[in-house]
Amino acid sequence: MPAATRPPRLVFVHAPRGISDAGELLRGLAFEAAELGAEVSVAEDGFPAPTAGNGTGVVESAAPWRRKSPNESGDAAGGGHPIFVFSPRDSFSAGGGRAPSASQLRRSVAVCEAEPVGPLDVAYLHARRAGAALAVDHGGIALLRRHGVPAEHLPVGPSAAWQGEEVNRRIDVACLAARGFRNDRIVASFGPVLWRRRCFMLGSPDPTTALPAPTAAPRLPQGTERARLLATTRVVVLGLGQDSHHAEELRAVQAGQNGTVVVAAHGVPTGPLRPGEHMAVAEPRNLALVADALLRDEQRLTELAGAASEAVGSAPGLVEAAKRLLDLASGLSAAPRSRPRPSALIASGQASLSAVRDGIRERLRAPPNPRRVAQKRSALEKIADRRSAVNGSDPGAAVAVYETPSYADAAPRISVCVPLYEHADVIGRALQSVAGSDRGDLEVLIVDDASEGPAVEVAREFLEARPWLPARLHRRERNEGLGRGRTDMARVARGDLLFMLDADNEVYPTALGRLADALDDDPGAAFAYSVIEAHTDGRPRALLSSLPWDPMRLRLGNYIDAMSMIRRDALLGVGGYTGDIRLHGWEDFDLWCHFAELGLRGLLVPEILCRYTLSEGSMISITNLDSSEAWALLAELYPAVLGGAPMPIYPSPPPDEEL
Amino acid sequence: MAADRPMPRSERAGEADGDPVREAQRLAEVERVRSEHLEAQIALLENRLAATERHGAGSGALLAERERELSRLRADSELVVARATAPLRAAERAIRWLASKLGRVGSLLGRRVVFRSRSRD
Repeated sequence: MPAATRPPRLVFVHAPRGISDAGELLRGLAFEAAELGAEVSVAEDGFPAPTAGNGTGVVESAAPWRRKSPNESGDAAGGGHPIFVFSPRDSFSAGGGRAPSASQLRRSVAVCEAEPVGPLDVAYLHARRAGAALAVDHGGIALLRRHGVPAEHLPVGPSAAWQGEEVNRRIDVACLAARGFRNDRIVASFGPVLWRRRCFMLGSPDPTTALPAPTAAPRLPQGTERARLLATTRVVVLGLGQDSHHAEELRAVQAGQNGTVVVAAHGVPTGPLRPGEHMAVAEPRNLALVADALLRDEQRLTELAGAASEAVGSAPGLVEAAKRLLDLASGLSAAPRSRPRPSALIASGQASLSAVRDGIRERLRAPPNPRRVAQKRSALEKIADRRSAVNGSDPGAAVAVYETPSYADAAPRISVCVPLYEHADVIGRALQSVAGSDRGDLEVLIVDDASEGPAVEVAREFLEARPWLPARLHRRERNEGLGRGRTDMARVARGDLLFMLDADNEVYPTALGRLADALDDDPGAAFAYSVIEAHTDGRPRALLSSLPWDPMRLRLGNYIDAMSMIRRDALLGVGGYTGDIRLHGWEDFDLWCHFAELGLRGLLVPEILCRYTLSEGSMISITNLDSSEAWALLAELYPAVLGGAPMPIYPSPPPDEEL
Repeated sequence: MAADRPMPRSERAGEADGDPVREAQRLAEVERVRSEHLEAQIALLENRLAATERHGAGSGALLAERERELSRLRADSELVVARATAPLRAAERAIRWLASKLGRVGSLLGRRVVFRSRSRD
């Protein structure tokens, strides 16, 4: 940076619900630029309106680290016009923030924390039209240069902005940024290995389309929250990003800086950390096993953490990148690009093609499939027939048919509610998983919903063999549906916390205790849910309930499974689960929407604590044959949450793959 | 549905009420479930170990195969070179033979010249 000229004003632009890693990199660069004396401000809502402020759009400074440059005097600092710094991958328009104008782009430096590729061609467009570009990854640089953008390398190093204050390392394993069906499946396979450990794991935001959720909050922690997470974590698992691993270098540096041991998949760029010396590497499917082994070897863990801290500490800091950024910004400030490069014309054509593609996609999603509608109607008619089969005076009432000797004297805090319909082959495993729970202050309530098979007998035999387990078995003569079964159990439950467990699902021994602890720690939450490992015959298939609570995300569909721990008062306060047959299989979705409509909230415990059995004939499968009617009903019932939301698509996951 | 029962509360959070025998039975069940999970994890580790060994053995076999292939290619190359250079080596032998003959004739003539000059003296 020339000493004679004033440093330019920098405006770091981040989309309000943008990419977490982009935000992290911009935050670090802004901090270092401010340390170098530049005037820095942050626009968290996307690019400012071109007409605002001094004709540049800059209206305010929201950066806590904002500092005046030593030679700044009033409004004339840096020549008056700011230089914008942004990540092209941030989806400004989709995230609700303002997209850059052409003139703003010409006065911008694009900072690519990963290649500007993806489903949104607008990333290319922005990178090409920017005045200058910096990229962390050499592949990204090559890609940009092939398209006529003279991108330069941005070295990532440690920054004080990323340093967390270590209190105690209470999280054993954190897994950042798993994306895509395959990686979700790999993370799901971590469940049987890491269920004893304290974990932080999140799944893909939307593995079906890879499009960013337009209204949802960022799923990965950012800023001080991420620094705190890394500083309180012992092992971080990297390398489960989709397609591109380039953002992993940033995370590796952040982890090493905070003394967190990195276990990465082979081939993941990790900056100054070398495999075997400062970190461990493994095949993606073995990452959890290696992390678990390291956690058993305290000495090796300490050695790796120390070596990683030393390696990152001796690497050039992010201040070097900030210096290069200021150089580029100074150049742009003196002579901004006057016109777009020819490649921008190609990009414009691609943007037009994207619009056509989006139009086709929209047309494809509109009409309901008549065949699927008929299939669903037929399935619902069968269910209605089952429910109308009347035997006795009040066949809908559940009658207690068995009670264990320990039930009467028990003082449970947690009531595990198990609605039962058939599933004689798996109910034993579900009940055994509850019986093997670490928490002893629980009771088990089972309501059989007029099963025709031997499910009741199987459940009864199980309870008779375990007289010490406080449990009561009910039976109904007429099928009343899942919603009523769960609500009835909530009414007779003695615990103030209810755990909903379907007969074909299971919990790990730590599940009930950790969910109850989470609710105790957060009295404002109405319910808590954990990440769920979905499997078919023991083979991991997917992650469920893997994203934090965000009512706006419900507009994209239900992302929280029924298997959760709910405060009894909250559930009964909203009248329990719905019994509407039009929402058959969507009872839990209805409940979450109801909670959100009333301002109640859920709490994610980011650990794999429960197991879900995927089956072709599940209730959700019937509803998803044609969800248009159910969706319209929910939108009518909960206008604040779902009003105006387009109906989501429920595609099938890819074929099974052996891990 | 049966009527609600009174809802006594345990003062010891996380522990079941009741007699020690029941608590012992519960803990035994907990240990049994945990041991099942551990056995599943051991089975998983054994599978991965076997897979690793299999891959390792596969890699060794592949390496040996590549080495054999390399030896064969090297032998083929040597044969081609030998065939290509056979005329040159024959010419070399001929030149050597001729040179040796010329050397012999030269030395014979030289010795004769020396002998005659000495006998003339």
